[in-house]
Amino acid sequence: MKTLKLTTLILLSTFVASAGFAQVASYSLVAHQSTKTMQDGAVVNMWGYYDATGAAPASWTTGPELHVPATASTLEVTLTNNLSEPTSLFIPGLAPEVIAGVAGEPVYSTSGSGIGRVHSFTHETAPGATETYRWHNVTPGTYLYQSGTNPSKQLQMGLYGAMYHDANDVNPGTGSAVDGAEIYPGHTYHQQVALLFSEVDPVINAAISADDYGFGNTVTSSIGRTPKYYLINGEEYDPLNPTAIGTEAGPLVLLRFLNAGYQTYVPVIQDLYMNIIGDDGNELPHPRVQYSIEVPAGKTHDAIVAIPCELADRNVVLHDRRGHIRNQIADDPGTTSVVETEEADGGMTVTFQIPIDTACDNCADLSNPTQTDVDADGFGNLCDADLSGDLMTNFGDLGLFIDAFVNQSNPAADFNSDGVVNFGDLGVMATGFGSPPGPSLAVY
Amino acid sequence: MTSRIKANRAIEIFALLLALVWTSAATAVVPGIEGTVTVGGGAGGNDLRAFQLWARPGYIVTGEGNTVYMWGYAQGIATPMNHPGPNLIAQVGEEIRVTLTNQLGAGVDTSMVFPGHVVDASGGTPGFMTNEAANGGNVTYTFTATHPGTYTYYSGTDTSLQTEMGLFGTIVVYPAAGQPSGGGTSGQAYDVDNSTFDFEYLYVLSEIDDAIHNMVENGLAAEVNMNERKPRYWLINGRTGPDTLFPTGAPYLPNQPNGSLSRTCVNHDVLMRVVGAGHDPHPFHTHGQNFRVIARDGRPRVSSAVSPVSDVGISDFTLTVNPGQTYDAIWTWKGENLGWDIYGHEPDPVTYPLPPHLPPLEANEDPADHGKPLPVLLPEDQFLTFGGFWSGSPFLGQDGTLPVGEGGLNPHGGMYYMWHSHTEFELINFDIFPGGMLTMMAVEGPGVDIDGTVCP
Amino acid sequence: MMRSKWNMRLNRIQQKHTIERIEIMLKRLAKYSVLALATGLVTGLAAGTASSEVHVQCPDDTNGNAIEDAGEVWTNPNQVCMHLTGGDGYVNMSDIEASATAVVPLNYDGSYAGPAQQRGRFQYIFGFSDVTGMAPEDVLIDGVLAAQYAAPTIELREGQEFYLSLTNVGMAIRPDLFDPHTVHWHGYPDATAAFDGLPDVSVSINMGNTLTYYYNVKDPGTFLYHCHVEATEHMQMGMLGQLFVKSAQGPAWDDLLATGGPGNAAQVAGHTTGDEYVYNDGDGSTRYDVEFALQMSGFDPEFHDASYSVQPLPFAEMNVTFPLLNGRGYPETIIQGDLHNSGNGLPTQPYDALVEATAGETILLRLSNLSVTQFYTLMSPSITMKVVGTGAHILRGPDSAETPTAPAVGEDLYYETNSVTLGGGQAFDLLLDTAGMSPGTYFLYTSNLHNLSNNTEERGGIMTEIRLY
Repeated sequence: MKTLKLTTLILLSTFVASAGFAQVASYSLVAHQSTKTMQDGAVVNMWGYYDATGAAPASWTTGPELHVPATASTLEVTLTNNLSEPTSLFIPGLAPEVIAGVAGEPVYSTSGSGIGRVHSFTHETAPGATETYRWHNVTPGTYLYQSGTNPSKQLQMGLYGAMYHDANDVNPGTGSAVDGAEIYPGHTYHQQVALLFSEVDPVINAAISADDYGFGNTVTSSIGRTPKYYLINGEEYDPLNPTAIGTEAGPLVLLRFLNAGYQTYVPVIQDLYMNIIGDDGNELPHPRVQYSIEVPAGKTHDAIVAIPCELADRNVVLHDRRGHIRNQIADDPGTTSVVETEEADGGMTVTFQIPIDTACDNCADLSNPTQTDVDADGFGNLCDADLSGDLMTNFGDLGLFIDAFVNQSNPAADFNSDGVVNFGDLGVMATGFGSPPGPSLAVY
Repeated sequence: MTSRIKANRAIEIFALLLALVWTSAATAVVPGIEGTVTVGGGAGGNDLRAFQLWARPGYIVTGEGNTVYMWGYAQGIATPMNHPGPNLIAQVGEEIRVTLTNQLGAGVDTSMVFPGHVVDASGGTPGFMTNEAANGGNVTYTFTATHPGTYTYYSGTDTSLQTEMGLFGTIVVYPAAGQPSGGGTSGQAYDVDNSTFDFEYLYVLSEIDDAIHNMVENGLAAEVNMNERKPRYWLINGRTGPDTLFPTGAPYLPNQPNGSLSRTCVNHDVLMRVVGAGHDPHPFHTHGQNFRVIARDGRPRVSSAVSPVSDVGISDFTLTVNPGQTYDAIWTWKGENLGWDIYGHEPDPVTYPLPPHLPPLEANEDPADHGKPLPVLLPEDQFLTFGGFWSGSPFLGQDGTLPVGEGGLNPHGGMYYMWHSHTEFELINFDIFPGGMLTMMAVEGPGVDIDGTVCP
Repeated sequence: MMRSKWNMRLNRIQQKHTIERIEIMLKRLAKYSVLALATGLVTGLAAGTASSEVHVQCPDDTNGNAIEDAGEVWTNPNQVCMHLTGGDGYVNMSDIEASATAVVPLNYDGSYAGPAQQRGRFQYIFGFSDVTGMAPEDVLIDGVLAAQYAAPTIELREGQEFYLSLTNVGMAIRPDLFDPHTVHWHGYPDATAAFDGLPDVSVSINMGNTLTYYYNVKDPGTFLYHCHVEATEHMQMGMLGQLFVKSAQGPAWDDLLATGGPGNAAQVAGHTTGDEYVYNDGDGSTRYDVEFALQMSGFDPEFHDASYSVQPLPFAEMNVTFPLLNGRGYPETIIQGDLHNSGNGLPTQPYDALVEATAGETILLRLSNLSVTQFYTLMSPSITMKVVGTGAHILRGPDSAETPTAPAVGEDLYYETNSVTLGGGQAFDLLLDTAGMSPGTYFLYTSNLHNLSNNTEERGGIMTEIRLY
């Protein structure tokens, strides 16, 4: 099932281990012309990035998600330019590597009147050529890699993607990557979701694709840009594809917000609060607790939500409260009525689907699908032999168990929920004897 | 010159309604409804507070004389619809139940969402975001007001269009003993010490593209393309300027009950509850003084859970108010260190024989400025244009002589400050200036009664 | 109400100059082919007021030119006076290719000011000009049709007393307009109605007369100012500018170092004579080496053209297509030196937006937005910005004192970012620490990328350069 997490598109970097130097995370990308068919049937011209080690995708997507491992501090991307004009790679929030005369220096062009204007913020990759871009001292955070060439023109074509680098690639508590990671020191998460906002004006994109943009052409600048399609992670909202959040690892979900569009969006999440901890790849000294978040053009934000147990088996909706929450749908060809529905619910909306038995599993290490918790202390019966409630299973609890065994009066002692308190339950207690109850995801 | 003529006409309108403005004073307590309380009626044994709202079309008026078709919420089956929806007032810990009945017309479903709360919905049919009521039907939403604060509600059905049509409102949850009572105006907003206030006011910011409303009114809602939305009206509490200055509950604005003319005394704390309810951000500027933000989205801005005060809220003079977001801020005008005596105290050796021969200090007067004269002279009347709220005197609590027909809107000689969107394009009603997203805050002098609180 | 024998005396002195001034003004206006309109202006002046009152209120300033001339003794060393005019004028936009316009640069005295300039679209504006130092009797001549954009930057020091005289010189191109003007010091703490410049609650100054504002400059920070009369129109037309107050901490710590006087030794331990701080931080955390003031705004050319040709103003259709930084669009933002307009050749766009520093220095950007239509997001992609102040207030939590004179204490709220979003009326103090950065050229631009345009011309708009040497 396709998810917004795009795990299938996260590239594994190839390491270049250099003795005495920090590790380098290396990727290779291709910039190419592409198209995307929108839900209303329109075919929109786009430019995008794809992984050079694979084939060009049939349809435009946001650039592959780049992950700079925690042990690396240098990012290196080799870009092959299959467009018909120069382009480049640029990452706001990270200074490019500067080698005088070779790399990282802006490129100017002189327009007809003799006035020099910047054309690229960094060195260019000519059409058909391949160049390498590097950034040293990559600090933890979420970043938007994008074209650094005539950004007003090229970004709207689709030349953007997400990159991230965490302080720790494993959950510091368990030491396992399966259990999540740590974005900034002290900020652990169990699952991450990237939400990359952007919008498309098909008319300007068509002009750019047809090389009919700029001085003397049909579209001379982007000042009159009027977007028609509003996307998250390069897609219009698809009600058949909600995003699953909440895993067995734990309730903390990192939302990485990125805005590759040209205007501000204000996502609002229902039923939950976010802990906003990062801004453009800079850790915020004072997290902000909000259910809404301002995401201006070019901005990245990191926010952690903790899924509470009361939301198990529910859907939680996040949508842009600025109202860009309609999909363009096909005009009904079967009617000539002037009254025709052009839009449907969707646009910049995400439906998070919280499963019943992951976010709230009250015996995280055992299979207890019924989640029975007679004493309602957050620890499921199957892992809760702590009858006294002192968060330790010991002889005091054994005494209570014997009493329940004899009198059959304490359903909390029916650990395996088979209706009786018997030797089967004694076996459960033996397993957990000397340990605290749990672990439970319903208690945190 | 056309614009000036329009400004004068606006001031004439002010003057005509002067009596109404001041006989019913602006409310220093946020307006709202309190529903029906059933003690112990909540699922957890807490109190249950129930509200009933009817979603219904109606009309509002704009400052330049237009009417706009809206969708709003009514408090009763036969009472006028309100825009914005009524402010729901509750106490922390209560179970809140809102029953929504849909009277918007054939084919229009609607619903309500309550960001900041975990909501259970019953009745109606499951919709895109929550349970929805079909026309004529109803749906009930239940949640617990776990934290005090300022919150918003809005339609969860076709949200983009329905919020444009006006389906939004606010919720204010007070901490224990936080709500003003006993005829007073002071209270507390959160469980942090610096959320106490002497006066509190609500500012709900929104916009209207009346072309969309015309289409909906004429049955063409399906043809509305929200991409082409272009607002022509900007509102505070559902009114455009200068209607924002008319009193709360004004009978000639039956569908827009909430004004926003605000008043305070020197060195008194004003709690601003500011809510973004439309689709656009607005830079809300408070003339006169900076404010200090103490909470966002119903949560105090604190560095840790045990902070006794809101210690990480920022100070600013212009607040970015984004759609869906709520802000609580404290504004206090102190009149300090201005280099001149704002009360106009002058030496009077006869009445006050002891040096420095000055009257005693006012209650909140800065001693360093006592008796200092105004350092400049104001030009003669014929060289000046006067504002309707100019008292004729630069001094607080005093009037001066004004040419006939000038001023008149400032009966107590207070100092007035415009609080407004600093996107000045939003200070118009369609093509007419002034209007739009503006209101006033008045700092009154000693002895003035503001809703039962007398300025010292 | 205040009356003044001083006012009456100046009345009589200047009355006899009135007709003389009108003649000179007519000649000047005739030079620019607006004689027919000037007739209306003369009629208005002669009939409306018995005399024109141009006078500066500045203690000890005997000749009324707002500066301390030889022979004058100003007894208050903290006194600063300034004389601004409010009127109309001309500028050109930065779409040099799309609307190529040749300009013959002239000085205010009519002499040639240098080689021809290539500018963009001609625009009529309302604005302020700085006539501090000009004799009052010359203001209604030389201060007319001289508005500049952005308005003259007002730079003050905490502890000063500021007398700001505003003379309304009228709109030479629009003699049908009788608009008064004001100055609103946006953000002045504990502002009073009389000096806040909000016309609805205060007084505004009519044509041909002067109003003097008084401000006790008590708080450091980055503010802004603009005319608040018919704000939507006057601000779109250009009556807006920058205002900032430097903190007293730098000079105070200079004194402590020099005299070894009482004070916190630890505070001054890292202080070098001449160091400046954005706020009275008490710990040096807002120290900076160089400062630059950048103000974002924008023009709707159709609105300005309608004003110029006496058409109804399209308020509801207002659409800003010339995003501007310090009154210019890129690449004019990086051209140092005056830019002259094609209307009367005057240097009415004197401010560039170029940021220059030595690599390793800390740069202070005093960033503000006075757009009347929108928010702008400004991005510094390669140099991280630390936000140390918002709304002319240090970014610290509240403390129990919060008085204007005590160093601000409270939880430090500084944060680092690479982009900030400002609406109209907002101001941020941003510190850019360039330690460890390679010399070179870096960029500061709006990430609302469609605003990297000078209207129909691409690669313009709100962009400037940071040059590290």
